[in-house]
Amino acid sequence: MTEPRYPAAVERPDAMLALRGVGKRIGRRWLLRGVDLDLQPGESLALVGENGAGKSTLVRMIAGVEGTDEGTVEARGRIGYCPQEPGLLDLLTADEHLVFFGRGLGLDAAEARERGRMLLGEFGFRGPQLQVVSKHLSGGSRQKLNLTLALLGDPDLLLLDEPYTGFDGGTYLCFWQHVERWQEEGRACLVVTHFLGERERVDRVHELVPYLEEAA
Amino acid sequence: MQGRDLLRRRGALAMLAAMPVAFYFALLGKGVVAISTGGVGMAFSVSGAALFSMLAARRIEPRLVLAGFRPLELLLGRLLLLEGLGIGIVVATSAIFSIISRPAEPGLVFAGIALTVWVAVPLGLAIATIIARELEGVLAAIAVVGVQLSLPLDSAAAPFLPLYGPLRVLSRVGGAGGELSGGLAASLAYGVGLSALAVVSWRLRLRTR
Repeated sequence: MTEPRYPAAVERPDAMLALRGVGKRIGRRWLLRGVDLDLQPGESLALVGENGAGKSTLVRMIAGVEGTDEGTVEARGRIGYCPQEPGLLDLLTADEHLVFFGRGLGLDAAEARERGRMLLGEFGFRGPQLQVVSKHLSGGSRQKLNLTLALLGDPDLLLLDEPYTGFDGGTYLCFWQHVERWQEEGRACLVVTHFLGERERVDRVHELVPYLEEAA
Repeated sequence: MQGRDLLRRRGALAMLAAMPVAFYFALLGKGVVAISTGGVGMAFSVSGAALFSMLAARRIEPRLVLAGFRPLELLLGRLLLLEGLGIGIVVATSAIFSIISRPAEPGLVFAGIALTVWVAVPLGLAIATIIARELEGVLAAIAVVGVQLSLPLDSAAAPFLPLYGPLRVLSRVGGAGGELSGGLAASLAYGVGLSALAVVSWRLRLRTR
């Protein structure tokens, strides 16, 4: 693990995220066990590990869309979760996704469209694409929409599972600039990544190691 | 919005409507038996549509719950949408069956096929929430509807399968099937029971901290 780049942030007692002894079993095999993790407001953390180490599973457990088999997950504030694979409805347009998710978040249609279009624009999502059904969008554009839906509710804790898959070089750099901005705004960011070069872009790195022991 | 996604699948909707009619025409020469068979076709198509609509949304629904929707709200929305869509098809198919076969009680044709939709939608949803894999889910739906189709209504096992009630009502079109109330009660019970099963299973699947 690297040292925190912003030590002042990690001394704050109001952790956005606290994991204690978290474990997950797949059948008889433990995929994860004894995972402890903290994340403070304004802090960024890269979650790394080899394929099958359980990174996406851990993020899903933190997001609350998958249960744990042991340990506790405590998260504070609103969560924005960007899964590795865009969970989109094939025959809805980008605009319709914004309105749909906005409704769940308590936004009216106009507000959801306005906020969503602004976010999409920041990632280079072109205006005409707003009326294209998601199955006809490119992989990168689908991922931009996926990321925007995670940000739409103005979240305090961002869980981003390889969110830049399919991004071009410019959008990729733009994404990391946004991570810095979100930190400055006090948001906590957890980013799942494979790229070693990204370790320099975050405050801390947490490496997940596959747990190999057979469950009793 | 999920309804909009479903209603844009025009090819699937056309097949959904065509399947009961195709089943009916396959046995057109067999008198009112064709109507019961059309009802079975309706059960195949509607339960399949419910199953796939649920499975297609399995990636997005956890996110929608995280965004603030309640799991029950999402499931009931889908249930009502499919029931509503099914009723539209029921009106068209029962009219076709009644015009061609000229049954003595056309109202029974509508009631029997409507009850088929009432049971088949939650059947598809329940299978999707419990199994949650395409192939296995489709095989389970085919098994349930197929076994029901092959079992005589007066067999001891028939009442233990969910389409017993609607088929009993449809069989009255041809003068068999016993008391109408028995078929109605069985249909209502299976519809409610399968809906409850789908809700419980869905809530467990989408449980959050």
